[in-house]
Amino acid sequence: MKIKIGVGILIVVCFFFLLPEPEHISVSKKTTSNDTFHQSLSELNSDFILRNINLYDGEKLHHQVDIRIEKSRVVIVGINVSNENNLFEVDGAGRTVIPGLIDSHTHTWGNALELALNFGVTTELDMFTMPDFSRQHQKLRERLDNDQQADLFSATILATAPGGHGTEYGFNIPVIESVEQVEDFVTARIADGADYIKAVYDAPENPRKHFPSISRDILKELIRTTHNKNKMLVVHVDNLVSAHQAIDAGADGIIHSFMDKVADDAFVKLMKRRNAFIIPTLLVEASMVGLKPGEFILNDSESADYLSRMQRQQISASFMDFGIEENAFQRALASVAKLSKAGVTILSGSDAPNPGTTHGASIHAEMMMLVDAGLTPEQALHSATGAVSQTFNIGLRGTLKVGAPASMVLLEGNPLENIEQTRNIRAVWKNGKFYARKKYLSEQDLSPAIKPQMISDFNSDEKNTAFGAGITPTTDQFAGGKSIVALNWERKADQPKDKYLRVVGEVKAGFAFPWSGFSFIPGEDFSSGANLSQIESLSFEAKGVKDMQTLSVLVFQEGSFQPSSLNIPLEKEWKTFTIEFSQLQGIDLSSITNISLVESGKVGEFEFMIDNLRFD
Amino acid sequence: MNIVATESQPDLIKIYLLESKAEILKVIRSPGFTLPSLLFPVMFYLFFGVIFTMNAASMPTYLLATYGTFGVIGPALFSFGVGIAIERGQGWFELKEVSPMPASAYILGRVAVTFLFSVFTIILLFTIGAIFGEVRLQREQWLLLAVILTFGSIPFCAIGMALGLYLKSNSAPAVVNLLYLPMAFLSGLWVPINFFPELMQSVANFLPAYHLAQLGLKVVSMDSGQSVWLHIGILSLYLVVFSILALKAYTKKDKQ
Repeated sequence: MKIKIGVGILIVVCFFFLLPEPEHISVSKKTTSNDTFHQSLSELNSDFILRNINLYDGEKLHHQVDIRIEKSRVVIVGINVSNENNLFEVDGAGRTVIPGLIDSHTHTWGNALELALNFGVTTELDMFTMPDFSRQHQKLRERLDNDQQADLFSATILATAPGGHGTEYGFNIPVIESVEQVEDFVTARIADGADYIKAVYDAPENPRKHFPSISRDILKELIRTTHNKNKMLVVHVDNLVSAHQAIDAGADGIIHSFMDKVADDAFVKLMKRRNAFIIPTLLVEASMVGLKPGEFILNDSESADYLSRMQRQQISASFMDFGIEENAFQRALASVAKLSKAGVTILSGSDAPNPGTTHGASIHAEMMMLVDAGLTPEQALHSATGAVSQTFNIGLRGTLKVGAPASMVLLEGNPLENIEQTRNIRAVWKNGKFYARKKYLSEQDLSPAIKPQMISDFNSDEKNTAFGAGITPTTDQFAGGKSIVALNWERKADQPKDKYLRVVGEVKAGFAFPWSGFSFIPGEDFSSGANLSQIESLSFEAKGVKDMQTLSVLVFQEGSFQPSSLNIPLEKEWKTFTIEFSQLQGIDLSSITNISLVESGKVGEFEFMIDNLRFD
Repeated sequence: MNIVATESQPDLIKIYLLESKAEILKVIRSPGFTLPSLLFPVMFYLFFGVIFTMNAASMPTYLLATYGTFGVIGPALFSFGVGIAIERGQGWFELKEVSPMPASAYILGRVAVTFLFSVFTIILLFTIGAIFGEVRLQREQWLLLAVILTFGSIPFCAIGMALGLYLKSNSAPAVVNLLYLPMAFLSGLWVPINFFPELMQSVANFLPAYHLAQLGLKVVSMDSGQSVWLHIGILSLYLVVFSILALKAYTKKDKQ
């Protein structure tokens, strides 16, 4: 009988060796439900293979191929790409990969580059921002680990006349009054880090005048000087005659598809002959005549969740009435159609965050507008990827050619058949790193707004506060650190009835960013955010015990472990501090989970006192 | 195990083998048990997992794990639950009790039946999944799934044993079916659990079949993301609780 059992077991074992295995040796075996698929995508970082995808490399579509990424760069695109090093791989199951999108016309500051990446825009070409901002981000773009925001290229400050377009925003910017000033202006911009120069020009022949403009001679001098310094010059125009003169004078491209006239044959020929390009910014043109073609994104199921409240406001915002009739916009479309047919390079640009547009999301609407104007979906996609790469000096960005940083977007459908598929984003990689797209709460999901009031005067020993989940100790032990803290409710010597909170502890090394102190949880529990949109500031009385003691105020919003923080200097006397929430950067006050007052950074024992914590 | 085979000491292993063999022979000769236990899961899987599948890419794999679970808990519940109840009704149980055979052989014999049926069901399901459902798994996954399912039937043996000792022989088949089929459905063995409303999904957390299915699904990375230890813990809890219940029922019966 034992023999029979042995034979039985042998047969079962043989059976298991006959069972089929997947064709590719992969760690994640099959495309499963969307959740697990998404999960496996998020594990693709730096070195991986994405198989069985349609890949648009910025120039052409490859059907059913694999792409291998190593050290965050594209190594090979092909059929049955090998995997000797056992890289993590996922079957893309016929979805489409496109290069990270490029928005060729933005005004970039604040958290714009993060907003952009949230919608698969991995590069922004800024057309006027302050050098203080652009400089730091231009440095970052050289780094492969700059993977939580889009790369920035910038014109820095635009070239305009005194009182000209660009001066109306309240920044004190240098302007050009004479040909003699041009050399210094361009030199200064290049010192500021300008990747190209942008000028604003309005020809004297144009009957409608909005702003003063630099003269034609200054424009010519600008073009000459810029080209001498091996930079490109792009010109903002709002009418055909100015566009013609700019290109005729040697400008590399024009910005905005003018609405006064449809491009005539002479202009189209000139553009073609000079190999000049146009960034039509159709979305913002439509917005100028009161149309809102980009507004659908607010309710688009693929996009709505990923728009911040500020972005929603920007998309809904309107220009003041310029008195341009609505059908003037048709001329802008017609010009784009003519130029495109003639083979002139068209680049997608949103002009975000002008009214009606926003960073990231609006480039998808702009591509749709270009298709409306008569481009094929492939041409529209090219205008936001490969075409920019060919036109501007931005390396291999906008392509997925061998050696390009793996900034790419995985789409559910095929955008070359339907450009609307560019919004069907399944995954975004920036420099080879999977980017976890940020979701925002919609208006309806918000809890009722909290009114300005006292949070705690600390006169009761209870950790309870007037609202929310109360006061609790917080240290880096939560993150694996070793810092300690104790909270004591103590009486003031002079006013025995009035108590305060004495926080005593020790910041110990053991975690990269050690901290220790206390948290106030304004919501019902640790994870649900409180709506502080009606609160302007947090104030409290505080006192330290050492010289040069600082206290960090950290504000966390729902779904984020990255606080917005502010340091305040404590004194050895009680002093009232007021933290204006407007000082905190990039925080959505409608869902705040945690406000912490902590000692951080400096290792050692500490002690501070807090009283009368309130919202105003 | 120290087998010091003297003349007077019986060979335990031999008893186990013989009892298992007898038990298996008995079951094989009663097609009323054999055919439904083997055919039901296989037929269901063929219909819902392969032919009328909602998603050809993932359903066959998902349902392979869940119908596998369905397939192994059936024999466990019936061989123990119904089998013991009937043998008690026939007086056969008492006869075996007074025989010199140890009680452990009685239990092991039935475990052997359960395992044999589990392995058979698994082989059938895997064959259908591989050939008709185009399920492709790594060799380790195939093996691990089979091992988890086979040994996962043990807590259900305990449940069956407790039921068999409590229930009357004529009501046992009905009661076991009444537990088996709804539990299978509520545990997401027929239809993936995430198609259910939230409330039903949370009910599943209390059912042992759900936890065995989740362990199986973990092998193919399709589980609902709970910890392995939670599943193992709850299954062990069921095993312990029902073993104690069975023991209680057994001793109570003896006293009468």
